[in-house]
Amino acid sequence: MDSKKTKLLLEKYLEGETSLIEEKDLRHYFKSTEKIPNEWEGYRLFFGYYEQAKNESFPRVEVKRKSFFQPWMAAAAVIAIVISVQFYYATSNVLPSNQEAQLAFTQFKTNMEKVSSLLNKGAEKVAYLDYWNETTNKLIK
Amino acid sequence: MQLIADQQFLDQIHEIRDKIFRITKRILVSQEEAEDATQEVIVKLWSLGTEKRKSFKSMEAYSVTIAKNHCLDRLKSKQAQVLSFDDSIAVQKTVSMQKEIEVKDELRWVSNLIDQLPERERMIIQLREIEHYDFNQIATILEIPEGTVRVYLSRIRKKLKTQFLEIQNHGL
Repeated sequence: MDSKKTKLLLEKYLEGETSLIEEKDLRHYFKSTEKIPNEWEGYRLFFGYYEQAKNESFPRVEVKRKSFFQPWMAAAAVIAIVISVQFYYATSNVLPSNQEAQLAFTQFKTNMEKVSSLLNKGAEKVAYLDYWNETTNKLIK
Repeated sequence: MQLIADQQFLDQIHEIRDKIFRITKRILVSQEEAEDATQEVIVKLWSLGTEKRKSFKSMEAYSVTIAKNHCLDRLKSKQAQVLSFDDSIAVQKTVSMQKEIEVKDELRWVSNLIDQLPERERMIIQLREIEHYDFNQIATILEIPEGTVRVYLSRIRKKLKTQFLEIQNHGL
């Protein structure tokens, strides 16, 4: 499209007389022509704006179908693995050897025997109470 | 059956949603409000029911009409609320426009210029220059005669041209 035809179309355009096809030609002219007369600079600007305004789209993203595996689950899984591995190493060093365990057990056993013998002593003392109960019962009768 | 109808509706909406968004944004100017308005318009279309929707000659033209009416209602209720702020808003806009000229962000500058037109003129620009509707469609959507659309359009195009020339002459 030469500038002579463009001039005619622009006059029609201002009067609101151009068809959609003619307007398309105008847009094309201003988009593809490098050197345009200075007085048409405004048209180039406006047609350029209209062109890019048509590309604007609705910004909200559609709701994605929910999957069972969420992104945070991956993070949680990694953390859980790290913690459990660390825990495993930490505890395995502290675990007593067989001998130590045996020793600890015998110590514990003797201690418990002492405690139980003392407990039995106490129980002997308490046996008096039964005797006491018996005599009081007799008296009441 | 219902499922097929639902899918049809979704496909239709998918095609015209961006258009509805652009038109609501042109009228309401604010991005967030346009997003909300678009959602509300879609809900309105949905609540019409399948039968009613099928009865329209052009679902698109009808949707755009609904969008237009919805936005005009929004503007009305907004204007009632902040009537006294109108002047300050106008001043703010021209200040930001000056800034835009300084940074020579041409597209933003054009957009600002259009934002300051009355909403009917903004709508006509959107429908004709951006969405490329023919005069008959625009007349149906805006509920005015075709001749009036042409007159408006011519007036707007001339107005924008003089506004541009004025600014160009005063040195950009």
